[in-house]
Amino acid sequence: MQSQKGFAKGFLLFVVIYGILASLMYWVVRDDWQRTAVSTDTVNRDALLPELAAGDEIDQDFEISADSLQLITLYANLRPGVSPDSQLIVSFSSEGQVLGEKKISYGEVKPDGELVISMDKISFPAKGTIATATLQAEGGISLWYGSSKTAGKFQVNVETSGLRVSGEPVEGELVLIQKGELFLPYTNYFWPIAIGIFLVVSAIILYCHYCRRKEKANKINKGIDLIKQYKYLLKTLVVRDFKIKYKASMLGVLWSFLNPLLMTFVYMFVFSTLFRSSIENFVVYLMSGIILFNYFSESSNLGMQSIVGNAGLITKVYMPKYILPISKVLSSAINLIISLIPLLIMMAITGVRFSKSLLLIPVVLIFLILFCVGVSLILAAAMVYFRDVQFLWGIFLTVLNFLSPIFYPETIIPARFITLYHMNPMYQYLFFMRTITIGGISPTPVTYLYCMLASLGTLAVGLFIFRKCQSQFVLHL
Amino acid sequence: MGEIIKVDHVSMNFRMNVNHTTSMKEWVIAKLKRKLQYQDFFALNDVSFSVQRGEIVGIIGTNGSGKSTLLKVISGIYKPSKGTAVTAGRVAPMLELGSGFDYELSGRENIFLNGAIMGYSEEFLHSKYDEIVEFSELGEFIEQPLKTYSSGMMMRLAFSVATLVDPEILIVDEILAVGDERFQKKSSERMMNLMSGGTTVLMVSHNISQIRAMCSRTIWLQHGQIRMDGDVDEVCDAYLQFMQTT
Repeated sequence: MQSQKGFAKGFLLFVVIYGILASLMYWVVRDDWQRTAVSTDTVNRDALLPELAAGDEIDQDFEISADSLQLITLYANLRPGVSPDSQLIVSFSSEGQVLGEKKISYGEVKPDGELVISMDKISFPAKGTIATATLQAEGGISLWYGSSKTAGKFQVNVETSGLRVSGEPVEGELVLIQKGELFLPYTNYFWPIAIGIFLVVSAIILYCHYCRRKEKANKINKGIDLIKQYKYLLKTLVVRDFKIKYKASMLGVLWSFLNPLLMTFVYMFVFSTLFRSSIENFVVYLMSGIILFNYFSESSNLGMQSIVGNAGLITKVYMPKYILPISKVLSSAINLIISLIPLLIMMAITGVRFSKSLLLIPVVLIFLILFCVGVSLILAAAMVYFRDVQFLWGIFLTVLNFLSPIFYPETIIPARFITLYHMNPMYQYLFFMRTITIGGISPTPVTYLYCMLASLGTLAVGLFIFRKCQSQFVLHL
Repeated sequence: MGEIIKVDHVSMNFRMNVNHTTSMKEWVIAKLKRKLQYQDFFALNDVSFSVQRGEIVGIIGTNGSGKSTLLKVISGIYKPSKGTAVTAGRVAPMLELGSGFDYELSGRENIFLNGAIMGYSEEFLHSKYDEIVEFSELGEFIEQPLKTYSSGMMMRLAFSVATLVDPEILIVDEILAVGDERFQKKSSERMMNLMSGGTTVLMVSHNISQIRAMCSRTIWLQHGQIRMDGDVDEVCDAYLQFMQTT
């Protein structure tokens, strides 16, 4: 009876916590899963069209690239001395229908030629439709156009079309940037999925409880009992590893703090001239990359050594061997969490807006930690049989370091490799982390799904391999 | 009463790799050449017996007869290649004292670490902590890192942790003499206390008089098989006679 009551209490607690977490998550991701900002590529400013005199007309066809088009940016050049009150008239039409008209006085042209036209009160047809912008002016203004785009490091020719000056087609395209929002369907799926997961988890919990009452053997219950019995050992090992790590050093825990900062400065010093210009907030970009990758390399290395290094223990005392690699990954995780503090400080210094998306940091950390547990289990098991694994892994980590966008922008990767490049789980964790810190928004569910598959998949493989081998470990140590 | 240890047709086969491949290259080459040879060595061969709660069982036999392997199988360190070994209680293996110690940590931290390795909870260890420190006679040294300890101090601490947590099954491999003479006396008293208090004990010893003094039953292992299992004096006499004739 006592346990029945305890179970009901525990289950209620689970329901409440799940409800709170799900609601919190909904609040954080709701807007970001509904719409996302979109901006078209910028055509290089290769040349100027002839001056637009009164009566001249420039037509530019463009494909509408947003569900809700908010701004269109053009680049213009003014003849010196022209009156700032003169007007440029841009009218939009699609399939023979006039959509609307915007009048911009020359005074609105910024010194670098940027001319931002807000699209309110003009309703555009659906994304993908071709629209035409027709420009007329009172003289003294000319517009930039070009026939190439910069995609990362590469120059790509645009499919030149759609530009006409007084009805005559011209090679190239106006420098016309569309900014707006894309509508996403994901928010609608949030609650059905959240409730689905809740039902599945509840069913498992209830089934386990049923088995326990009927005293039926059940693997999950056995696992829970083992965790209950050894959770204190896990805690002790994690605390021990963390204590010993800094025991003899003067600055102690401060190193968890200093290390990412110093590493970031070194990288910055080396790479600032190479990549800085093309990355938004290079310091935070670099630091988040270094912190996550360092965690991966540290925890996988420690986890790999955990079984071989504790040979003296394993051959003398019985204990669940899973605990050793897991404790290493978790003690490194303390380090990881501490090093988030300098990251947040750097964000504050560089003026990043602290948005509610930062609440998603635990989500990406949990994904990463589970991934590292999986990798460590595989490596620890392999290491028992072949000590070569440690050397191979060192090389592999260097390769992975270069294959992940840590200190360079993703845009330098040639387009044909990009799908392959995105398959690297580290890429996804880094992308997630940077989207929520620098970007200030939640990534789309696609990223969540990928991170989850990478983490749980690796964990499952790790558990499977470790379980298969663990009874043999003691014979090979 | 009731069975607390049940060893059922246990065989322990060590596959000895004749080529000694420890690198991947060697292994692959040996595998490709089909030169990967193994030699089977049965450390235990079809051993079956059971132990009742509270029994004190001595295990004797010549070197290499499988005594230590048997203890490791019962402790759960080795998984038998055939058969099963089931224990119905918490096992405290004293195979090598202090094998879970960390030399960087203090005596106090090691008490908790070692207790945790044996699967005890934090509350339980807290409740036993004072008793353990007192028994070990380490005094204020308990806060010093273990690397500063003498070997005697280390052994005293290890013995205290292993025996003061009231294990249900105590597995002892030749380690009854710990520390100086006074502490030795104290520790053997402690062992006697445990035994009379209902702890099931499995002990391996070459000291036949010790076995006679402490055990109620003896198992004689030879070449991985049970040669004799029964009353302590009967088995010990037979064993001694066997040793003299060979």
